[in-house]
Amino acid sequence: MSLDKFFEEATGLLGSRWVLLSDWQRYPYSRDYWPILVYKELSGGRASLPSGVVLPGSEGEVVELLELAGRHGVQIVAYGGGSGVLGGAVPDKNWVVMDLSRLDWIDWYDEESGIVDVGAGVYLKTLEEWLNKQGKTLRHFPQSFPEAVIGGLISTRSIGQYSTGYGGIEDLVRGLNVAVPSVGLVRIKPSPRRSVLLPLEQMFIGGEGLYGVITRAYLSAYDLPECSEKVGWISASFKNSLGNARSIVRRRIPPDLFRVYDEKESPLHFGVDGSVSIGVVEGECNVVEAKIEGIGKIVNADPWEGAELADKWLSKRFNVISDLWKLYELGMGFETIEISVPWGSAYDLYDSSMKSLGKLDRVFFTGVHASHFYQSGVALYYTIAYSLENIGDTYNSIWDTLMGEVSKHSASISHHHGVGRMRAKYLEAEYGPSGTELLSKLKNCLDPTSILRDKFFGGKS
Amino acid sequence: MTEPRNVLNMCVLCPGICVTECPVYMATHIRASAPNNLARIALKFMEGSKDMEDALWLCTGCRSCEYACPMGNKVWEAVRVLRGQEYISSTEARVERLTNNSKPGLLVVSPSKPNVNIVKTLGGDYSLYWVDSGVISETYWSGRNPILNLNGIEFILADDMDALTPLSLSEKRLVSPLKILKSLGAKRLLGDNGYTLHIPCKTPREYRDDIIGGISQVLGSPESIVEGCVAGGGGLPVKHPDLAREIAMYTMRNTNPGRPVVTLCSNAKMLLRKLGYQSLTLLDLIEEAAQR
Ligand SMILES: Cc1cc2nc3c(=O)[nH]c(=O)nc-3n(C[C@H](O)[C@H](O)[C@H](O)COP(=O)(O)OP(=O)(O)OC[C@H]3O[C@@H](n4cnc5c(N)ncnc54)[C@H](O)[C@@H]3O)c2cc1C
Ligand code: SF4
Ligand code: SF4
Repeated sequence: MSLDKFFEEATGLLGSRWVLLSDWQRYPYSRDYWPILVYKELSGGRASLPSGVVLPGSEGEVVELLELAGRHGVQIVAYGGGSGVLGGAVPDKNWVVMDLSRLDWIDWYDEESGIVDVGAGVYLKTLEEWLNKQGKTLRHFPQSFPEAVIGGLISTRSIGQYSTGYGGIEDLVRGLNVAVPSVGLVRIKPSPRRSVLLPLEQMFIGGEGLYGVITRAYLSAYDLPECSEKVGWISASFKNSLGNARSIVRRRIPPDLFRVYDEKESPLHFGVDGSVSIGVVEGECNVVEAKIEGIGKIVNADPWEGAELADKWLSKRFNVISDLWKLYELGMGFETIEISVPWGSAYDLYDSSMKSLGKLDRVFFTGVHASHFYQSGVALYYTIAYSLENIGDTYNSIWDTLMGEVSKHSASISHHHGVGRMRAKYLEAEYGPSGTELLSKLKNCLDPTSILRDKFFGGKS
Repeated sequence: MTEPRNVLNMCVLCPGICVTECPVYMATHIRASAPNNLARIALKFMEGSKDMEDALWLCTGCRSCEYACPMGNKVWEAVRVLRGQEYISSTEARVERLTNNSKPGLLVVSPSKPNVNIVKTLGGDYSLYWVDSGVISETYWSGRNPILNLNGIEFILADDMDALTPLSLSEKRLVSPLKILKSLGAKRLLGDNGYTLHIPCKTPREYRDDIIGGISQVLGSPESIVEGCVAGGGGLPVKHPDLAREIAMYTMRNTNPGRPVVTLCSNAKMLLRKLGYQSLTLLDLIEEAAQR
């Protein structure tokens, strides 16, 4: 490996302005938003810095940098917004970070078809503002809406708060350009749907920068809705709420944004006992009204009456810092873990995991909400507050306990945060040994010299 | 002012809700300038990593992050303290008396030196005083009240957004520069090509519409409005002059460089002039109108 040679040639390619080597320039890339590293930093620790950072200004430069890295035996990790919560974008000491923020164009690919052509480094918030000015929307609102960028969102298969209405990022991606080490730039043109062997774009949605670097995305935009109505209601228990939610989804009238809180989270967020459900129903006004009426019949309540519950949540929906700070001042850390589970075992998993997590030392609070619903199942989102003392042990025991429960109930280990570094050890619980081997072989085929995040499958560094 | 360590810790804990609002980061792609990262680096600097200092000068103090922050956190203020720019020594602003008559006292608040033409134009109606706006705004934004001897002063005339806000909070009546501009017929100064209006980054959001409305009434509607930071302040143009240009060009990217820019920020004026724009503050317009 010759890092010096790599940086020398990278400087020749990009100019010295875009090759960052000083400490203060490299420091931001020492972590993403993996909580364990955030709390470590707050307690005075310092994560290892990458050996340098390169910022390509074009798709061609991304390809050339990968080629250079291959030639000099350098490992690269792609960096988007750095809002990933599992360490996926965290470099090792001698790795190079590829920051894609200069790929920042936004334009219509085909306005009539509502397909927008976006650079991988564009912030989601910037894109949404651009679309809104033209009466359009992506309707993709993960809670990290202000911090995440398009390449990172696609690479982690992200999902937003309006998922029941508009789906996950996989439903928005119509085409992609990806720089693949063994092939060069793969251009997957936008299409409404295709049946042409493996859908190549889907191979990279959720690929977490292991198989290639996404440089460009073609995304579907929607018209802004005519009506958007808030609803809310309270049920006696989370079990009831989940049952109602399933019926609502089955009858295909779910709110476009739909959230159901358990008895632990409801008092905390809304100051009420029981289990709160909130939603936003969007579209043509008459359809919206009809849907809300249908929902009311299922839940046996007037959904309009709980609109202020939805309002309350909406006003704070991207504000994570207030609660995190309050907890931090009390000496507590906060973890969020999301999984998905078929309806058949959803409540059992909830019940059993809450009991197991409740037994852990130094865990002060565990609550759950469901915010993504499907015909066949639901995503459960755990929020966990724990003591910052002895954080390493507590953190690992929380994860091992919950992943153990997930495995026991045949649930999926992740619904939308991805794998990163934290979940790599649970991969076999999802795909079994042969599935994991297949992923590893795919990696070897697309990236034979292990340029991209090579440690993941026990690679060479 | 909140203890800098707490301010910075809060940003370290935050994923960066405000990052897309930071003009420095959005224009330059230097991640160290994004408010959450700037805070991370500032904390390391505070703990002894003095090699991190260059990053501290990447903040213009535009306050966009504070406005976007759910907690109203002031990372720019903490950073300014760290780079030794606390204006403690200059909280006392020296007020210079220019004319001595029995007319009501008018204090001109300006970053420039006392101007003969303005004295001539206004001296008949007022007894004139002059003070450096930089001292007042820096003191105010650092969380202290500027110490001003306002004896004998009834009115205040300021054209710098930085100074307007603290002064409008004081008891004294603010003389709108717009009223004077109107009486001087300043509209004709800007030519037929129209003008670009620059609303500086620090403009409190609640004044924005009034300011645009007031200026449009006097100078006619601007051809375009640019809102945001052109990186004239915070020491950035001195420490990172090339980056300051990049930021200014980014903020001005959709404007016609042939059109004059009327700005409410004297720092912006200076930087825009370096970039070849004809740039004027309201006091400049008063001065020019008076000269003709
Ligand atoms: C407060 C908060 C709330 C969140 N809420 C949600 C939510 O509601 N829904 C949700 O889905 N997620 C959520 N997340 C998780 C996170 O925001 C997402 O995983 C997001 O998709 C990461 O995007 P990013 O641009 O920050 O990527 P990064 O963190 O920079 O990178 C994520 C991964 O993608 C890889 N990568 C980045 N760019 C590229 C590229 N161009 N090509 C190939 N690989 C690349 C990186 O190497 C890394 O492995 C949340 C995170 C936070 C901090
Ligand atoms: S200023 Fe506020 S929003 Fe910005 S990084 Fe700091 S805490 Fe987060
Ligand atoms: S004050 Fe302005 S320049 Fe400084 S960090 Fe905040 S947004 Fe960026």
